Amino acid sequence: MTGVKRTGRLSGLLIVPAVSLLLAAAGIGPAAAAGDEVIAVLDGRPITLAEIEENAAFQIYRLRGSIHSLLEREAREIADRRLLEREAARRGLSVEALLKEEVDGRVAPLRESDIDAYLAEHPEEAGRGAEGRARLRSYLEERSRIQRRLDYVAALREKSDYRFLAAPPERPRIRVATEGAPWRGSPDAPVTIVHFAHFSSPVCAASAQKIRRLLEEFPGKIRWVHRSFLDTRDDDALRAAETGEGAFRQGRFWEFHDAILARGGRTPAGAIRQAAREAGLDMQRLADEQGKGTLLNRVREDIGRGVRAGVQAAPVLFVNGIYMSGTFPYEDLRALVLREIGGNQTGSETRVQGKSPGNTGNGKGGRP
Amino acid sequence: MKRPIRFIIPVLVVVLLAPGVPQAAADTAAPLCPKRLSSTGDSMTEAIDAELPAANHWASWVNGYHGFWEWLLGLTNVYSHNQRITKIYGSSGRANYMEAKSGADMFDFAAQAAQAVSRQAHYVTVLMGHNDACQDRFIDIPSNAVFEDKFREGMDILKAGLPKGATVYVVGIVDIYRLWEVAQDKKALGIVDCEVLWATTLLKWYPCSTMLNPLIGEAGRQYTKARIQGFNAILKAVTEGYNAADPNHRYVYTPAAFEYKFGERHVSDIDCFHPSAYGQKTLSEMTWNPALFTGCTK
Repeated sequence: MTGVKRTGRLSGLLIVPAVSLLLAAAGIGPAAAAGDEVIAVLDGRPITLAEIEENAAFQIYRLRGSIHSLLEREAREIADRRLLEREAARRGLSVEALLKEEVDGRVAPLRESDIDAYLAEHPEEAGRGAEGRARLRSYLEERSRIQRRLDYVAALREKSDYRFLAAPPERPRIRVATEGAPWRGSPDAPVTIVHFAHFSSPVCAASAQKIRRLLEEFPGKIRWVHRSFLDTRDDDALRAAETGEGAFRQGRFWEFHDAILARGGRTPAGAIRQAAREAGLDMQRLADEQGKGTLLNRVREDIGRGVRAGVQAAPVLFVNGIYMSGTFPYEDLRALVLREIGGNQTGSETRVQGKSPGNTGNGKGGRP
Repeated sequence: MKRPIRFIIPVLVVVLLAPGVPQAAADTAAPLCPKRLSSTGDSMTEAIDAELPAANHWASWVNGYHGFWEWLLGLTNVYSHNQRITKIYGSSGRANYMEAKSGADMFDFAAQAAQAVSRQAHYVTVLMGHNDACQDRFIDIPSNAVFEDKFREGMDILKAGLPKGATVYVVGIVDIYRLWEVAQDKKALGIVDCEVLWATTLLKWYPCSTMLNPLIGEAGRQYTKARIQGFNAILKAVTEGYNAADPNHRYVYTPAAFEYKFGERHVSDIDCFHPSAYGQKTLSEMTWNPALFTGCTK
């Protein structure tokens, strides 16, 4: 098999320049950083890729990501096909004959006892009488055949030198305005996390819990900014976000934030009022401001900011401008934050806009 | 420097849009212009979670619309079949019916077909079968024979009741395996951890255990994909059979939705399963076939 590996390496070397050219053209890899590329010209003045990415960095990133995964899957498919063709040729067979011999011919016939054993392990698959058993037999037979083929191709791959050379696109740093938004943590923290979330979702509540844990683990290193993002047809979420905005105006946003999220994302109207009282809000003032509709306008503005930044569904965090869904495990988020703390200590740039002068410096945010 | 990749997506769309000529018998009645549209199907057609949680009918690949409120709210214009029909044939006499229901499977096709007949539709779309393949358990996936019987039941109703010259357009089931792959892409890109989302928010109605349950493994997923391919082969063969045997109507099958390599942006960030508004828009582009109505009568 050494010969095969050598051939693979040589092929890989030859492929590298061509792949680099393709990836450069696709905007994947190092050439993507060449932001001064002129994309258009207006009356003789250039419009560069960097300017476009100011507004559409995340959308471009997603497209590049799609292209990268498409290349990866297609390359793997071609490689697998070639491996089968090569092996078939080596043995003087057609690919069909090879698969018949190596896959169909090596799958052990299914016995009734195999079905019984499967049912003992998966009792939820029982039922539907004789027809159900026939379907199960068909499933188990076909699954064995598929598994054998997967294993066989994997073994061929194992003996070869297959490498996918395209690097995934780098996550862009998105400009996310933080002025006029509630924040907590250290005003001079090297890491700013903008959390697009709402109070009526268990996933958002869990996401907030992860940020709280980060603040505890890295004291002085993180500034947490809250932005509302929700479906405006979700009455509970809208009412809770509106109350949050009212709490912000009364300088008690984080008290309300923590009280409402303590409900785990379940926020019927009564729970919102109760959380507002617990946070010490002036309920009359809140009602007056709700009546004017200005609080809701601020919520809508936040949603607009989220949409422009590429948010489609809450919760989303921007860690120094780097997008990350709040659905990811704490460890993933922690790793990103650690990288940013390290990066900032070595002078890396953050593109998140500056701290709001309207926030108080008490580490708990304040009035806009 | 030119960036050829920018041209890949348009080229794909052009290739997919290459007009397929309906294989109708020579003596088939001239097609009716598709002014009365009726869609049969499931959550894919209802555009569940495409842009906002729950049904997003404005974003349906077939029935979607984009009026003042959709424009004002900044919702996606998917340029659906409905919109294309109005653009080409005008708004006079237009009707746009959605019989599709979230959760429907081929057992529901007959009832939806009867609804389409009651509308006297000129153009009936069928995009169904996802819920036949997507089940809680593998043994719940119907056999090919049962699937075919149920499909024929609905087709018989359409054949017997649609006006002469109506077109039945059967779209092959979307490659659900591809949607699973796309969910992995979303995770790799840091956009959303779909498995966490499925486990935390969709637990009560796990959308497609026979494909998305992490415990079934690669062989389980490929089994379900193979069943979808089997169902699509049935949809194709049966549709072509009706087209050959019924001179009063046109029946056309397209594999475009199955064959298209959906990317990460085509799948909803809300549930990591249904097409996003962008996915619905692409679905509309891929499946719209103006050649179906060449020489149509009003």
